[in-house]
Amino acid sequence: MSNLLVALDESAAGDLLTIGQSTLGTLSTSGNDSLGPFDANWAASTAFSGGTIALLEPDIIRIEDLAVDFSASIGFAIDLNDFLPEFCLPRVCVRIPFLGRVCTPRICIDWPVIPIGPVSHTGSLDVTADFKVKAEMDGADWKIIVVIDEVPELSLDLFSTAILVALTAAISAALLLVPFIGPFLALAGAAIAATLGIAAITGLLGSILTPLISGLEFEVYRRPQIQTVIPDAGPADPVVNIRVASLTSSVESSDEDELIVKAEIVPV
Amino acid sequence: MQYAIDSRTLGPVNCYIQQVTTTGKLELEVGPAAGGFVTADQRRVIKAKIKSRSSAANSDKKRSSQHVVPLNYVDGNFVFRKQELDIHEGDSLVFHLETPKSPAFAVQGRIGKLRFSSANMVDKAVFTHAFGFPGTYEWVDANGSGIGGVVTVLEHTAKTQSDATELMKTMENGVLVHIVGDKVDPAEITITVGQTVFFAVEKSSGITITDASLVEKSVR
Repeated sequence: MSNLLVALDESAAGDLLTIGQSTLGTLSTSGNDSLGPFDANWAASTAFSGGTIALLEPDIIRIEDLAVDFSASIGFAIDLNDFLPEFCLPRVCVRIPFLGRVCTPRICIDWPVIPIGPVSHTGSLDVTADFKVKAEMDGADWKIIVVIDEVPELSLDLFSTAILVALTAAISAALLLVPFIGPFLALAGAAIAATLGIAAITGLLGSILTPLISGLEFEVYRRPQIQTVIPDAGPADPVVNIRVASLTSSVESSDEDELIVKAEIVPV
Repeated sequence: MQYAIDSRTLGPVNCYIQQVTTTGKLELEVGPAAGGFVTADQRRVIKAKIKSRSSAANSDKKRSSQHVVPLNYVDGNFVFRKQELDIHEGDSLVFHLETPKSPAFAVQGRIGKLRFSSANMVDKAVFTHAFGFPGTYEWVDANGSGIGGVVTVLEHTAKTQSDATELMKTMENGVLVHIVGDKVDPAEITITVGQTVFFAVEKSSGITITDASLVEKSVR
């Protein structure tokens, strides 16, 4: 059995990361989750770019200032009956020439369920996180992936504030479409706003974005396990098929930090 | 459009009031306003006898009474909760939905040769509508008589609890639009959100009170 060794410095590893980010493209997902007392439907997408590589023994690739560009849209429904008192049109009487005094009965009306949004927001987070480099078989291919090791805390309050402003505007607009809301408009706005704090939105945004980042992996290398090589002999020598029996990767530090990929090859 | 103005489709913010002006056997039928085929078991006929005024209790001999007919929508049918009505000539019947989440309804009836219908108001009939949204509403007769009018509804929103109480108080003030034949008085009114307009119809050829936007221009 023979070995092949490939060593990459941090700059070369950065080039591989760029390839991995491009290969990964945009991640999209959707679902529903609680937003304060509401059940919110959401959809989100993320794309990753940039970042500076630092290699750390024994197998850590630290990516600093990785740009996480995201887009999130959030929508939900509000049952106004949960926030407002029962509404009844009062008994109304008028005098009609041919009938005399006539009255309508008191008529109670259910408040409607009003849809809010979806409200969309785009933003970009700068994330620094440690990734582990792994080599593994995938069908007939070997691949090397860089997998996030620990999800960093995401700083979302700024985005939550913007989303809260957008949601508040959407709620105000939706309330104006509710019949007979006039006497209750201020009450409804205040009651709903009280349930929608920055913390609730940050919680939802975190639960949307964290899974997209927690499973993050960049594929930086993929080649078939069986490869054809041309011997370094004369032109009459035939090509040879080899099999990569194992592939390992690690970070080694000597005079500089390097990502080492070691392949064991056997003839086929 | 549960909150549209249309006497042909009576929703949760409407009442239809009919004065009964003769004695005899009253038959009332309440059904979905959208019409369509109604099977025999879905037909709900309310029967009552209209008695002479002189047979009324002493206290009611001189003045007519108002009988509220609250309708519930149960298992696809409009159900009248009360079982019996003690009606005298000159009394009025007030139909309205008691269950807000009901489809719109229409009511029609007859006493001998006298017939009436919420979709074709002829005489001694009243359609009420509580306006839920601000705006300017042009109403017309969808049957094409050419009569009509305008209701301007002003928006008032409460900033404080006392504002809200005041607005609720305003809703207690009804406004009358009296229609006699082809005369509408007044043809233009201004109210605030939540107020109820009573469209009282007399000596008409058979009209509706319908938002102009729901009626083809050729009919107006």
